[in-house]
Amino acid sequence: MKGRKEMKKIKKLTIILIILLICLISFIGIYVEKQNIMQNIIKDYDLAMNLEGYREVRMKATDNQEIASEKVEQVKNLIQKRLKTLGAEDYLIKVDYVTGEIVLELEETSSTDRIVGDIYNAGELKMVDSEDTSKVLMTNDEIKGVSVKYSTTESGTTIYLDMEFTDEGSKKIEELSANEYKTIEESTEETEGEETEEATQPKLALMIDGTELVSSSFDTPITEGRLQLSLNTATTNTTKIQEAVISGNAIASLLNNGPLPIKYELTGNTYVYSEITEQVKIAFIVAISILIIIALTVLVVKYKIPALLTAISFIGFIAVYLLVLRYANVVISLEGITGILIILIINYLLLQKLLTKPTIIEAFKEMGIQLIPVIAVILAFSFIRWTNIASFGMTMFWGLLLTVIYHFTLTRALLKK
Amino acid sequence: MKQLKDPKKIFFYIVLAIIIIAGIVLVATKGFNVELKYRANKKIELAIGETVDVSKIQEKADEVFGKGKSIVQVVEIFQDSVQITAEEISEEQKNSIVEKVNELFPQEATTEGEEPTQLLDASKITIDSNENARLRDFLKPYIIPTIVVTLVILVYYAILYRKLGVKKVIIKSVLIIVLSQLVLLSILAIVRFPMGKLTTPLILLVYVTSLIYTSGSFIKKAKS
Repeated sequence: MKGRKEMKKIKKLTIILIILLICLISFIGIYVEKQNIMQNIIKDYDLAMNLEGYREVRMKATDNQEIASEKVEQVKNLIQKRLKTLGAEDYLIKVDYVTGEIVLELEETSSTDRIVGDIYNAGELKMVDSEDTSKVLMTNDEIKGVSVKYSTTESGTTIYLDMEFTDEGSKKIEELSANEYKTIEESTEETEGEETEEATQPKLALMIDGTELVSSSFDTPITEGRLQLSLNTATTNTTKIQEAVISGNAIASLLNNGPLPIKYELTGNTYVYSEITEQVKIAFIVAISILIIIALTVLVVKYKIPALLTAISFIGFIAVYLLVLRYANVVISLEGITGILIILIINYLLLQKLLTKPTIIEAFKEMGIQLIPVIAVILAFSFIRWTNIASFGMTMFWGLLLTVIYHFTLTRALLKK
Repeated sequence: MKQLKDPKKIFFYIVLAIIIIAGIVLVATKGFNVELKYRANKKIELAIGETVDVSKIQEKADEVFGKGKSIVQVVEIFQDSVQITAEEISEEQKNSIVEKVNELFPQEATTEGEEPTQLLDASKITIDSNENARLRDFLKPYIIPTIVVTLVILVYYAILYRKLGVKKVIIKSVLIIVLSQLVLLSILAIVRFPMGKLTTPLILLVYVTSLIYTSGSFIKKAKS
């Protein structure tokens, strides 16, 4: 009997030591000397633009254009659509309806430079004669939609743009590909002593904002109202394939959403750090820590020794939770911090129940039913492509999952009588 | 009827009504107090050329624009420039802040006997204008998911607590969710809390709390 008690004590002490170790790792870190500098090898948090910083992009309407508020509103909507298709998940747009100037605050990711490079392009498509670019044969109006597709053969993967034409566009491209831009078959006969004048092959060039993307003639007429333009030569190099997909998506985003009714130029592209400085962050952490200490002291005063163990468990939970958030690559925004605070409140209430209910299962059952609506919110918000909402959902998703695992293992063992 | 006779509850409802009415009146007359970053504002950028202590520049900005009336943010990856945002920046204010920042970073004369050059030249610093961001633009991504998930939760409540009366359960849930948001927005309007980056976190906090509360109150009623 005495031996069993001793074992229990040792077990509890071991758990407390494990929690202490996790706390040290999570709150302080693991420091290793790298190039004569002590560096924390614990992964840092991924912060969203409202906590870290953002790219501020200024776009000004080029001179000699008529600026009407309706047109500017149209530009704003088109830019928002482009941002969506280019994968921007957090941004703020400010528009001057008089001058047409647009200020875009964009989250900083690996694709920000590419987005900034594409976003202000007019997106004017012209199909012209490659020799005489003033001869415009088709424009955006004849394009129904553009998508990026791929085909894989033995020699590798080819990424291509699949352009679907409108009814009118289909007729035009059929006519052009069957007549004027049909590939001229090379003559195999050689005339002795005579030099024949080679007929130049007329080609149809695809131009976006005045830049030629590709030019081609047609071996067979385009009869189905679709045109495929390859963006790379067949390759197995994944980087090259990825680059072609990215460039294809950028073109598709420009063409699918239509051209901007106002032409823009980039006048500013600056990285701006969040106004929430390190000092503000530290002050917030201190304030929250004080609140937690007060709440846990209340618990200990009310429920004595068992509450002391739950308090230790609660601090351990915070430590593990913060580590999970870092390694699960959850982007932390202000909304995400709200999610973290809600999880801490839920855990505090749960610990209170653990102290009053006879078993951990009963405490979980009572709390679980009450939390079903919250689980619905988490499921809905976690998969939304908007950083701040997803941050709120994901912090709570990992928080609730950890609540179940952590308390069923560590807290349960710690509170076992 | 029994519930309405409870003086504590009557007092609580009266307080809620007063808060909401006051909030509506304030929003209708004055609108919300929108954070400077989201209002139409003016900006200047100062290239300091060395790592900047934001608090020192903020002190100087407060002297020129008044306390809390400007935001100083570090810009560029080397953190050697700052951006000062204020509701209005006049040429005099620009010159004044440039002068104060120059005092913070005194330069040495390149040749003996010559006057030291200044770090910043006010004539080369332009004042940029920013239009306001629309409040509805940054609330827009939240609206559809919140409505959808709320509807799903209401259906869940109606099924699970149907014994309490489907209509009653739905009305009570909607009232709690909507009223809690109205109270929050009214309080924010009354205390002139700056609407901006903290608005959505607060709305989400109150939303989830109201869900936990409604769920808890139905469990309690179902048990009794």
